Amino acid sequence: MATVVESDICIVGSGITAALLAEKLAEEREAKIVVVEAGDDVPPLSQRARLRRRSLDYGESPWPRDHLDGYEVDGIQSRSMCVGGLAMHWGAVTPRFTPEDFKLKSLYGVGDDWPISYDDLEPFYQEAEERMGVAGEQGPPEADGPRSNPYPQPPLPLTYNLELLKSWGEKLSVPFWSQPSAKNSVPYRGRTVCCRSDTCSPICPVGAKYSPDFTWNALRAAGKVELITRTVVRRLELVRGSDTVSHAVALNRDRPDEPVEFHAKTFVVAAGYVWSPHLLLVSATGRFPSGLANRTGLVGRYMNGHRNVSAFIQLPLRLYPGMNGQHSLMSHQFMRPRRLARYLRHDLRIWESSVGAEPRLRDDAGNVLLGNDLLADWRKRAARGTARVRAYYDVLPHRESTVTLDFYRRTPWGDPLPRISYRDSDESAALRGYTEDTLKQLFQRMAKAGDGEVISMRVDDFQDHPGGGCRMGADAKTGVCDGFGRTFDHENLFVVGAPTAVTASCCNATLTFVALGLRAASEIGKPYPERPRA
Amino acid sequence: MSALDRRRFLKAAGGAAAAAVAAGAGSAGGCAGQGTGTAGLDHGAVLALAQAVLPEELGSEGVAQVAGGFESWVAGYRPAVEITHGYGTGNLDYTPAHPGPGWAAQLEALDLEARARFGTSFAALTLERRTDMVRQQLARERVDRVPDPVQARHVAVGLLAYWAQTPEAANLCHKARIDPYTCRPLEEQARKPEPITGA
Repeated sequence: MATVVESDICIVGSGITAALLAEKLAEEREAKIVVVEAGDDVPPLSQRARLRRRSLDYGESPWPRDHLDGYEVDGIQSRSMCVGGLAMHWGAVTPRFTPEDFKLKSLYGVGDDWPISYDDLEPFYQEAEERMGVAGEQGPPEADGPRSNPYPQPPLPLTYNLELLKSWGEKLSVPFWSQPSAKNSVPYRGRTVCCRSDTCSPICPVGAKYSPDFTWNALRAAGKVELITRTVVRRLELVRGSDTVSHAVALNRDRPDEPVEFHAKTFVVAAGYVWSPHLLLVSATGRFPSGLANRTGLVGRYMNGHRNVSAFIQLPLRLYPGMNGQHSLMSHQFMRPRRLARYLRHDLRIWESSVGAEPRLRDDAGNVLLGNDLLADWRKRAARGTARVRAYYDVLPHRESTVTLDFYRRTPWGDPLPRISYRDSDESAALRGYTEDTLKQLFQRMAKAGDGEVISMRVDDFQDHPGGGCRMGADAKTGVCDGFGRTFDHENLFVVGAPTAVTASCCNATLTFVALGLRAASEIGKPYPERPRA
Repeated sequence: MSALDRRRFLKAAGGAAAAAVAAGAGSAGGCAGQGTGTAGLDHGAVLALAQAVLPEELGSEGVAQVAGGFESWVAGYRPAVEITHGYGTGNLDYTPAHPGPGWAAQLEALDLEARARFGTSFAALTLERRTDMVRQQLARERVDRVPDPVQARHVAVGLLAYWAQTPEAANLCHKARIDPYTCRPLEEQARKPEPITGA
């Protein structure tokens, strides 16, 4: 006999998109909200200074037990599965996409347009920034996307190092400004100011960086949501003879032989880019033999992300690495081209670095360095500064960039695990060499402009900030869900956040995932009575 | 980004005084009681080694502080603990075997060699002789950059690695109060770090 949990809205997953979506729904609507999370609660803020210390001293994970054993999948996948999800150790970097991202096909003839525009999403960008508390400044209009209101916090000040690097970077007429970040430059909503602990990723010891557990803690303390942890949703079931989702079948990891059913009027799948499409695929029924929301076969397709090219550039600048190494300069100038003979969009960021200026145990002649000799050599090497530069570039996804079910590898409960296989679209694959060569040449020009030299360069093959798998579209032929995340096949089933992204842009995408979730919340909440404003 | 890449990022982006062991002996104090109970290093031997391989600018007090901090670091080490896993990797890695026993044996070997060659303990040798002995041993090691302490195969490298990653070492190198990885007022980051002189 299954335990049944009833609610109005059942949210599967408790990552950053789920947290802020739940907060908005709880504020605006009279609805019982239940959230189901497979992982555990995370250590409270009071323990984080100690956990950070262990992480710094010994490299130990500051987030013990943040993943599930037996969930090793074939393909690149981040392991965090806990309350707050991957955003518990994010760097809290929060740029917006630019308007061009939503109409690549119309503007540049590549990829696909989104079913929504930047203007549709802009109010939810602002809302996301306000809920998290983003510190930022608006870049020049030709190089930064438009915004309707100022950032909720003043920008994080540039370090002395970044001020010098800004002057250097702008020698190529590229404007740079302070990277918008969900880190407090002033006290904000009960959280303290950043004090440059400089370990934002993986852990902020003081709570100046926004992380989703803060939202969950407040919602739970106020009794506005019920968050049930250690409970794995295994499949969604339909009402017999209907396309309406009836309930989620789950198991509590502590009592796996006692099934749990979550019955709700509305279901929101907020389980990230892998587990969201996976849940739909594994929920196949006789009526939906390829998985829920998958009549047109798009679930698990068009998985997307962006690659990067990076370099370390040594410059004749006296820098002091260690002032706040996770803060950076950014430019979106190259994300906003008007016309392109060959498609290439990318962001550009600059950090301080100590690469090339670390202490060493042998000099160039191979002599062992100890004591005073080691220090003298270190000082000599540190007299020149090093900049780290990096450009994320657009990678357009192929339809065959997929999450599929792997029937050879199963969870401890016997369900097939996902298999993740990325693939560039044909146009992106054809452009890859040109793209990476162009970025390498840009870094060489930057080095030359500062009388410096490139000391190393690399292309990271990993596609960062992954999304897709349940892309939104104008109709069922082009998407799994509409611009609000409502699946075309099931009126009471929504997918939110990263999986709904059509393309990944060329900058950090978390803010966009959250904004998409907040926009979805505006639709998800409609059937429920409005809550009187406090 | 793999777990190791994440650590490399911290080092690369953050500055010379990257990841490990921020506040010298004070930091390791926070780890007391969390170690595995592995026998610690001989204090006299560590101090004698520290005097031989650390810069004189630290002064005798600074050298003693680094030696004590290193001993606490070793005492606080825990093997087979999950290390940070970053974005985009399904792999979970664990801290390697405890370096302490090997380093303790190397300290003992230094002492035995000193007695065999010079008829006295390693600690009783002149600084120059101690440094020469260590230099000869490291000449056989395949080391270039100062590694993370736990990756050091030789105790002298472990000690130097421990020191090099303290905020104090970065400050000494740059002759400026940078204090990496310590809690500092945000607004002060816009200013050039204050100069410091000596140790």
